[in-house]
Amino acid sequence: MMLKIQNLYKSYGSFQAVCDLNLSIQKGEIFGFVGHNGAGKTTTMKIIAGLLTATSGSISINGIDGIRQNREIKHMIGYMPDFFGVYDNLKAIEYMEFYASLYGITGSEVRKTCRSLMDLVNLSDKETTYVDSLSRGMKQRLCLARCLVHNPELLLLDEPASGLDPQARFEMKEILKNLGSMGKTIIISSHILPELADMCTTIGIMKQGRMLLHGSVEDILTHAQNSGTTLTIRTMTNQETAIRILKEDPNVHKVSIREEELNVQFSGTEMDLAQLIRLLVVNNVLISSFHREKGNLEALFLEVNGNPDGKEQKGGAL
Amino acid sequence: MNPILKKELTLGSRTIRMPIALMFYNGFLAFIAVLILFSACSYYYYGSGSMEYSALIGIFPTLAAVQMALICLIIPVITASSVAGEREKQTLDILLTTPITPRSIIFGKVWAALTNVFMFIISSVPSMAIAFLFGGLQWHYLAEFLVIILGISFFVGAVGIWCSSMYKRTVVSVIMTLVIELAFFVGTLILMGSIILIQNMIALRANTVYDGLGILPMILLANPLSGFVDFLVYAMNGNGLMKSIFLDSMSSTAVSGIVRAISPYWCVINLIVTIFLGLIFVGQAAKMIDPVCVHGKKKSRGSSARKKKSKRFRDLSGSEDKAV
Repeated sequence: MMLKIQNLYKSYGSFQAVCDLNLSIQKGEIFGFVGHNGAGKTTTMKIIAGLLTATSGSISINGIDGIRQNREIKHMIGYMPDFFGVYDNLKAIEYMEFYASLYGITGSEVRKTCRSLMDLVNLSDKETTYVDSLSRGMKQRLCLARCLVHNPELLLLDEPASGLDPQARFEMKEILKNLGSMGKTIIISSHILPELADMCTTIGIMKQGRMLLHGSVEDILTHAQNSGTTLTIRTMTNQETAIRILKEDPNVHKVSIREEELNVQFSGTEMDLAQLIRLLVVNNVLISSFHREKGNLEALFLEVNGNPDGKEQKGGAL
Repeated sequence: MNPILKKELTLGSRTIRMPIALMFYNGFLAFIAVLILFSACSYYYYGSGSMEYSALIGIFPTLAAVQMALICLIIPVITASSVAGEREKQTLDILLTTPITPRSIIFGKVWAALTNVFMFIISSVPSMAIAFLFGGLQWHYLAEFLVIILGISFFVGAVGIWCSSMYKRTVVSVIMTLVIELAFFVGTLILMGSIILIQNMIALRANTVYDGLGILPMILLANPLSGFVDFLVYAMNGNGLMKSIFLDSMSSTAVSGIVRAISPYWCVINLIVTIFLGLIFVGQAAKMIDPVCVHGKKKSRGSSARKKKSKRFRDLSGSEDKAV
């Protein structure tokens, strides 16, 4: 077990930033923390990184108490905050070497390590460039290289792709996938769930300091697809009959009308859907077009976060 | 070498600020030295017709005092942005996730400030040396002056770093450093004077005789300038100021025995106290930036018994988040 969080609480006065968080992350796992701004993702990451003290609870990193033996775990963690944190008057390679020296990496090994890391993040041609003249995406990649300088086992990446253009975002994603294939345990936070789904093995959705949903990407995708299929049916005749039939169907949760189109929230099986269409046709509802959109992660994320109390959602635990 | 110090020196060497500051600093000192020389020459031309060489010795204490004043004004500016700047650049958090200790970060910053001060002082040696050209002063005074000014610089630098850790805004940090400096430099004098005044008034009301200073002058040990002034007087007269006052002028009943005993070594003891005070400020600054040790108190974590609300969350993976 690389990371184990138990009953973690963090409060600022009466405000609960993190509330009873429990989480286990295996070695080599890529875990995605998802949630709106203020959900508690960054606070949790900062507590893991030793930048904040928890009000109560425990964190164990590779079997070591992350709270009491804070100094010991620093060699195991590479933390990349959601801001650049660079010194403008340093060259890229000097920036890397500075952080290497903080981890006690000295001698001829330093330059070699730093160069290989800059190569990993595609910045090998920017070694002697001053950090302030690098683009936003390059700075972000440099920061990623920086937090790899001591070869940490656990990477904490707080919104690594925020503010990047699509190209830089894609490059960052590729680098992270590459790191994942190297066996690093990575925790990534983001408020864009589909982006994480591409590279993460497990995902946790947080809201108001609580973990609302937690599981493997496959499980969450299946759950999303099962819980939220949207049907768009265009009728030519007997629209009222169609609405009545749809409302009577137990698998239909919501029916809305837009001009000639009926938007239907459906959660039944393939067979249920086939039966429903047959029923419509038998009742002389002429259907001119039919479109089916399976539920996606974005919809699930919005659904989960839409619950104001953070209580259990319709659909129950899987 | 402390990595923070190395980084600070690298960054500092890449700005034009330091060479310009050095130029103005030495220009000002040279201007003061020329003024003194000019006044001595004026005495030759417009006075008795003879040079007053003893006046030229005054170049040394004057330049030393001016340097001390300049250094005490420059250091807060150098140090004010050291920690606050790391916060503004958002690099402090990253530093704190590395194995380097908050104390090493603070010491790196203090050494960097001292290195800058050292550059100012070393560059001023030619100006200071003018006084030694005319005789009457021994060269070791110059070395002693360097040691004392570095000691006081360490103290002021430590105060500056403490303020930089305490206050997020650079301007506030500069002002607070100057206020604390004043509290030590002038406040101790005012404190001692006030106590003497109150004791005198009490004695007057009680119709008794004021029984002397006792150990009150020990307060001045916390004033870094007392040792500096003691040194300057010693350099000029061969007799320290404190020794002249407490040992030579006052009787054993007017002042405590311990004060009389330490007065000949006042400068050295004061320097040790100054450095000790600086170390306290450094230690406190380190605690202030340490996220797991806020304001010197280790935060209790994991110990508070919290009532756990039984709540079931959706869990897709297993048992970890189910029942709490």
